[in-house]
Amino acid sequence: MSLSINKLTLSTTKRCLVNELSLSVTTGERWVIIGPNGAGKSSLLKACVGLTAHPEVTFEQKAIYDYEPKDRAQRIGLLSQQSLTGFNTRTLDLVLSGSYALTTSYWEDQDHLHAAVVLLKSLGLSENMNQAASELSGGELRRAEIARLMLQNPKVMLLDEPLNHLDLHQQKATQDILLNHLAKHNNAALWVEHDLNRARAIATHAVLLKGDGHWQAGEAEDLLTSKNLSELLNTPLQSIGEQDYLSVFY
Amino acid sequence: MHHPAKAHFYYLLPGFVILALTSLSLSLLIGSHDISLHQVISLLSSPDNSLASQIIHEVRLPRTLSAFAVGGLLALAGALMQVLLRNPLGDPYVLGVSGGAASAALFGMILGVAGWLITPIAFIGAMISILVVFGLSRFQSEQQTLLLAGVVMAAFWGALISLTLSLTPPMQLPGMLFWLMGDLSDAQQPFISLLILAAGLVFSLMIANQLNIAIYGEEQAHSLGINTQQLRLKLYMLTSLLTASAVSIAGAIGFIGLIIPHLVRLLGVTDHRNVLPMSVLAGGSLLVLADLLARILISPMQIPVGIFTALLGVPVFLWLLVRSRS
Repeated sequence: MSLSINKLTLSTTKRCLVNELSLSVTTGERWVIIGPNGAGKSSLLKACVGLTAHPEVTFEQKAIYDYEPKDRAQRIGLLSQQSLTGFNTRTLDLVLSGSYALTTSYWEDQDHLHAAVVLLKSLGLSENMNQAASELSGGELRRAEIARLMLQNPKVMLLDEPLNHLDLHQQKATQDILLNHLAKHNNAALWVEHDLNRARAIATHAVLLKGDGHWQAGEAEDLLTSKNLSELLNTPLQSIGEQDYLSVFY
Repeated sequence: MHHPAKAHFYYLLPGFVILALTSLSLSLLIGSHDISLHQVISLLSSPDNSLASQIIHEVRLPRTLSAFAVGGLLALAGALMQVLLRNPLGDPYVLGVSGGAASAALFGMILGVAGWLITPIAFIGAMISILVVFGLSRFQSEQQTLLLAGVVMAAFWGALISLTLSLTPPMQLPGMLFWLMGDLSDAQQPFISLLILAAGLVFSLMIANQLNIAIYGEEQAHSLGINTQQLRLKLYMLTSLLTASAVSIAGAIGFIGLIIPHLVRLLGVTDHRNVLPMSVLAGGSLLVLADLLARILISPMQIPVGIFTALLGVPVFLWLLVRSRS
């Protein structure tokens, strides 16, 4: 199982963001994507899920956008930054929509319904199950969307700042739930992360996007050094303490 | 654990069927000539040459079925447009789709084309309108912008209709005006529109679980396994067809598509596998009842039923607008 990107170029109307990016993501790997604002991190995820037609992105030698939509959704899924709920749809239905690609029957499976309930419980949303999703707080909605992606359970999860809007204690708990899920199913992840220390804690690999076409991709240990990240983010960083935490110079 | 959408389907939907049957019966029963329920039932199954039989078969039945078909078509079109727009303010009338269909149909009438061609011509008008309004969504996904584009399109069609009417010979004018205001008194052939309604409902039920997901927005729907471009194209075609066939029977009747799906959703029904058939049944019932009022309120004179639905719909629309802002 592998998601391959072969010489992918992303650009806006004005400038080139990423020039000929190549990398290959295999089972169980966790790639963090780091870069300044507007460097093309979200655009990269959109290209990977086939929202934009890029033949350079392939899953098992077949272009992502050539897959049948349901087949694609079983292989790759996106937690986007844009959180939308519809009308007065219940939180449980939002999560249950993750099972669309997994079934051919008209009504959702009873098994998926149970799974959705279990996922909501594990993410601390059992109280909100029958609440309209539009009434959830930002952090609650985010967790519901994470539950939906976990129900969909694609082989490659694309996570665009998944822990944004979450309270501190929820960040750690949700991070652990996501990491456990990835480990249990041996899924891979491409994870956009702004918190450098979290990035260093979770990543096996990293992609650094400079935003001017330049990029680096490889093993996390080699790339996520304070020197590298200082240059990338144009901010002096230093390592502190035994845990080797990164901190900004003031 | 119970599947709530399935429960609604089995327990709530029959209520809507009863509502529809009741309104249909009332419309057949009430009119200038007294016909008893017993007589209506026996005449429906075995028509004879009596006056009562003629009234039932040539006046009340076609008009009642036309009203039901038009109400159902508009309610279904509205429910589908709300998914396209991701906004409960979607309605064929508000978004100018009815206006496009009406302008094209009017144009066809002026040119004197055959009656059966009016619906296809209206379909082209509706399609033009919908492509202009939703074509913008490729560049501008702001819902308010889309809504505004629809309102402006409606104004444009309004102007075009006024222009056409000012150039129409005075003899033809009253009939056209009545038709434009939404009038069912000339509706004679309900079966084609009932057929389009049935086909439209079956087709939209087939994509109803995709609609449930489309409301989470293009990115999420795509990621969850929907072919969003294809779905959008289906919805353009379907809503245009539904609106065009409603408009060519009864002119531009407004706000049914706005009120009905919203009322259904207020009952706590959110799943489109339920919202769509319930909207059809409730929309049909509402227009049958509104048309009944239009017939009997100041009889023997008749009021165009579109005036009723607009008087009811505008306050609901404003209320929805205020609610969606807060």
